[in-house]
Amino acid sequence: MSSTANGRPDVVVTGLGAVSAAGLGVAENWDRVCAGLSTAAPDPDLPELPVNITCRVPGFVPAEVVGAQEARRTDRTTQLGLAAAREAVGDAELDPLDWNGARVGIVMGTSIGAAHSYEAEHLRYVEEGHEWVSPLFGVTAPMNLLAGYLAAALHAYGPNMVVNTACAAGPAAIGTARQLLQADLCDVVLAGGAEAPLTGLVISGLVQMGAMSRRVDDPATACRPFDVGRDGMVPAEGAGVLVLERAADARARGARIRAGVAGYGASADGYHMTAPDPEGIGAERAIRMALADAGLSGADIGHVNAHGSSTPLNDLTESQVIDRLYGSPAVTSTKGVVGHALGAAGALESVYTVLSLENGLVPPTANLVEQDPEITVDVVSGKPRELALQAAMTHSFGFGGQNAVVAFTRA
Amino acid sequence: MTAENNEIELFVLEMLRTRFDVPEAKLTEQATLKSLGIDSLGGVELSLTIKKKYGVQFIAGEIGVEFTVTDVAELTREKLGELEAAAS
Repeated sequence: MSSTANGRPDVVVTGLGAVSAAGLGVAENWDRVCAGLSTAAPDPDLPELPVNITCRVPGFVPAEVVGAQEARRTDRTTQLGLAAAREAVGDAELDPLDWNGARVGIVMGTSIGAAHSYEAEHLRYVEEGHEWVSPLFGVTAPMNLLAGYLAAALHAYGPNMVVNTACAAGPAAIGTARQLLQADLCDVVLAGGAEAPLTGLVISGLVQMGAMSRRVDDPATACRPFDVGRDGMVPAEGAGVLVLERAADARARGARIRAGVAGYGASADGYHMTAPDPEGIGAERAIRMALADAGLSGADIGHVNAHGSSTPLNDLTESQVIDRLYGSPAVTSTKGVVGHALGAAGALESVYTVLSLENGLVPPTANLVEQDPEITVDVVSGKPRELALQAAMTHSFGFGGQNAVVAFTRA
Repeated sequence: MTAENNEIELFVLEMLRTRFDVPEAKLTEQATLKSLGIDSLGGVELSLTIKKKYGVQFIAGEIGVEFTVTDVAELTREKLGELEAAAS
């Protein structure tokens, strides 16, 4: 098959890149996610906050990714994004020095954007005064630089943008990238998300609004999606990038096709800026849109990599939507291991979903000790489950009521 | 404050070495900022380090990428002279 249910060209994944608290690189990520071991810990950089459980990327040295000089000219969000993008391009066996850059697009998602740069320079502005603000702020702060910088670093001169749908930004980027390929505006698109939100200001805001887990006496069990004892999200940083191409092009160059991007759906709750629609109507619209786009029924989906943010409201509402729309998929939330990397979360989860399809393996949801009795979907826990999968869906739901989901199919 | 001899040149070279990671071998007073890999934003950054040390004001773009280390130092001395003249 080389075209979708709607007659548009099939788009496939040919490369993966991932950086998260689970490790630098796809292999380390997959090992840790399958082990089901949470990375949540008290944040060593935020000792002043009474609630400070986060999932920080260990051993990430920006200068190794961009060089010492460029490290000062890029926000950490961009640095994480570039690391994941480089891995994905290498995995696809593409060479930025060799490709036709004008036909290579980049669509990256993020939510908060350059949090570290804003915070550092605002502090300088307040404490030292306007005349000491760094002239580099104009290139570190704007969130479009996440994609703009990658264009320069990777010689990708085609359509280039950042999409912001908060925690749904990863699938939104993948869906947008797929449309660029289907419209023949690009031959290759790097799509994903990056986020580095672990600053005092951002975390304070999340704590103040009651979104974060307060389980400071036992941080490793703080993120526990679908568990009866869940009490909030654990924020994280990271980046995930997928290389997308039209299936026919990928086959023609002998690329290793890792999965099909079979369907995309997006919607807005239009209900409340943080709480999900209580009936999950917005999520349902996005999922139905993606299923129709893929020419699949709910029963065809063997696995759902859920949004599963470990907040009391999301996990309950999402499980009801899953119950309603699918057959009996194996559900997991990999946030139990890597936390919630906001605009990077859905990109990382797309990487994991592709790996699940490839390996016939659904990772367990970390810390799922006692499933909430009101949540009746089949959540994988304890250890990874071997399962022959043909199609899987990844869900991402953002603040502001923005929803985006992607259906992937086995290559 | 009066800057003696080539004190400002030495300060600029020191900034280029420590803040901009310019390799020792490339650092001469005749080298242009551009030849050291420093762009216009880098010029503004450099001007802030000089301002912090000597208290003189620059506007963005005043230190151009074609400036040599000596040019930067001379501009700084000129500004210091104006400051002293204004103060007296």
